[in-house]
Amino acid sequence: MAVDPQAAHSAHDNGLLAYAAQGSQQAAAGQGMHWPRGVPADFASQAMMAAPMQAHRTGDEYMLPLDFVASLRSVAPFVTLLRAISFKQRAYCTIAYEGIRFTAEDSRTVQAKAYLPKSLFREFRWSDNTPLAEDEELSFMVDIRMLGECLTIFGGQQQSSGSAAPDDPHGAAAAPAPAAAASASPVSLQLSYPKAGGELTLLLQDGSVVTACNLSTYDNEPITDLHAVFGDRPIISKIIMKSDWLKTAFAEIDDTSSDLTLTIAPQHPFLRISASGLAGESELDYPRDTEVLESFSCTVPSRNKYKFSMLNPCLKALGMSTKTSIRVNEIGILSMQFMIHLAASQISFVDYVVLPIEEAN
Amino acid sequence: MRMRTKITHPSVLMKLGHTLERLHKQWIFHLTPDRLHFTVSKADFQTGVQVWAQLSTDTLFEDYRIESASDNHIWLEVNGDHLLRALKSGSKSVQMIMRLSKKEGLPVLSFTITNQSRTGKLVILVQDVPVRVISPEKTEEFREPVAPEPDVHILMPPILTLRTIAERMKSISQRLILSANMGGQLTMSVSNDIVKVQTFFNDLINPQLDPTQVDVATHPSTGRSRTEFAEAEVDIRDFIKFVQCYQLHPSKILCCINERHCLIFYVVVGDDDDGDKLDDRFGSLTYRIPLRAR
Repeated sequence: MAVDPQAAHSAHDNGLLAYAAQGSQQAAAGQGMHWPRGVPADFASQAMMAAPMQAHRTGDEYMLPLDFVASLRSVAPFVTLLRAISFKQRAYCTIAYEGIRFTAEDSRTVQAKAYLPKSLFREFRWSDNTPLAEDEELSFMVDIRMLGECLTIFGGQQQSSGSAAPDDPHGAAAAPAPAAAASASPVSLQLSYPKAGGELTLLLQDGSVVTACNLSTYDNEPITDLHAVFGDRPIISKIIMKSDWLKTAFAEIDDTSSDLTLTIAPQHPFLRISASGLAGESELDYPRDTEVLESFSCTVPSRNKYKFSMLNPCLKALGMSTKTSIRVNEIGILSMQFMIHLAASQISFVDYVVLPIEEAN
Repeated sequence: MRMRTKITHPSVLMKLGHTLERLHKQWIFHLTPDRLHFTVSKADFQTGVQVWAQLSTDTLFEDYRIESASDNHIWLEVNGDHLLRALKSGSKSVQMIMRLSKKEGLPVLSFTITNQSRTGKLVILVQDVPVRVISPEKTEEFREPVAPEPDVHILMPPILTLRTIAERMKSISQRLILSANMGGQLTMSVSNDIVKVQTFFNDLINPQLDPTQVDVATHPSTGRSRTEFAEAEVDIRDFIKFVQCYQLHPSKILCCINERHCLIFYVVVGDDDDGDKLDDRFGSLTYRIPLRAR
């Protein structure tokens, strides 16, 4: 198709007119800063301003760059989930049809995934108002510690869930905290990310005060999906239990222990967690009682060792969770799924997969 | 030189002390018949935060008597920790008396604190805080300098909001850019190699200038476009030192940006009037934060 370059150019000019006007207003407002007009105004227009304004040429047409846009009434659940997996500085972020997923990993041995389901969001779409197709996916790497700092810029309400949970496996205050957060006037969030990649833009609003954050992202490095590796082999045991029972075990274990042994068998001791450290050995047996193990199935007895330092990252998520599902596959890979109550009766899950120590025998 | 008074509100003095503590350990006390002035002793205010506080003696003291050869003014230098300890002992007292006296030839601020024990008996505690008396001719360096005329002046948002934001921003960068205009807008901004964070406040008040104090017509903020921002880059740790004044429950804080010299915060306590007039009868603190070059 032949296009008159002059016509295409003028179309381009017209298309950008609205934004150019915004741009000049912005420059007048203050020495190159992004000043959101009429705060609290419509977030969408602000997001547009904060995003880089370039037109991309696709084929013969000029088009405005497309952004992914999502908004949350309250930033609290996002903060809670991010905190659950923040054992590394950077994490992989995937925006897909089902929601947003963060994956953190350490030493190619432990991998954690946190999900922000689409249902949690008030908006979840492209900037031209079309929904994400099932096969559309954006993925990038982001500094989750910085992201956490940005999300808690207004502080306060998110702090509660973290303070009790991270280092104290008892985490007694962990469960009621998100509920308390919901009662305070929530800090809302609008997030946007260019389809073509670039900066992650966050707009947080607390009453009439707005904070804009532009966070650089990194290209995705390829990683092995340990969750897929786990699924490749048949699962031999499945347990669902209240997280409190597991928290007790982790509180009991001497933290000088270098590794931890998990024994699961169809008959006694059913579930045994043992570890030995400088202060001595500890061994915990769980009875096969529905009070303790809500669901228990085991086809083949197994005994596997895991590095304690690789289980440590799970403790934050465990502390925040109410229920835990433990699964072990044929080759001893451990999968733990923590059910975490977010604000307003929302539930989400954080998945961990931990590889066992290869026994040299 | 004589000074004796009952301290009716040791807690107010204590909060003021906690606010100043972060700045410097040595404090300058300047007592006059109607005002108690505080400053921290730091010779060069170009390099750090400087603060001048003044509280009305009526709100703090009772039966206050002061006499001196220099117009009934007394200047003292005191160690902040020592003073705070004495004030702490008096925080739940029935009566607290402060007087200037001499012990073994050295000047002290002597606190006589009457506490009530659980059984109702009165326990008297005397705490002496050593002081250095500053002679009138050496007080010049501790006097509050004339503030440069601000390019923009604006009332700050609630101090607790500022405090939370500043604490978070500290983990992002050491430099904070504060900018404001005469149209009620104020921005706090920090950035590092990977993130840029800006917080925007709108609908703030730019108080009217007092024509009895300044020449409104020639004041830099008068002829300025409402949308034009004035910007100040400061060390965020300096800003956090200022934010410590939340402990005094300030009623109003005026921010004055002078783009060439400094950032000044004028913190008013005890003025519950909603208007945009600043009433410092009860007390006020002036923070002067040096600008940092980019």
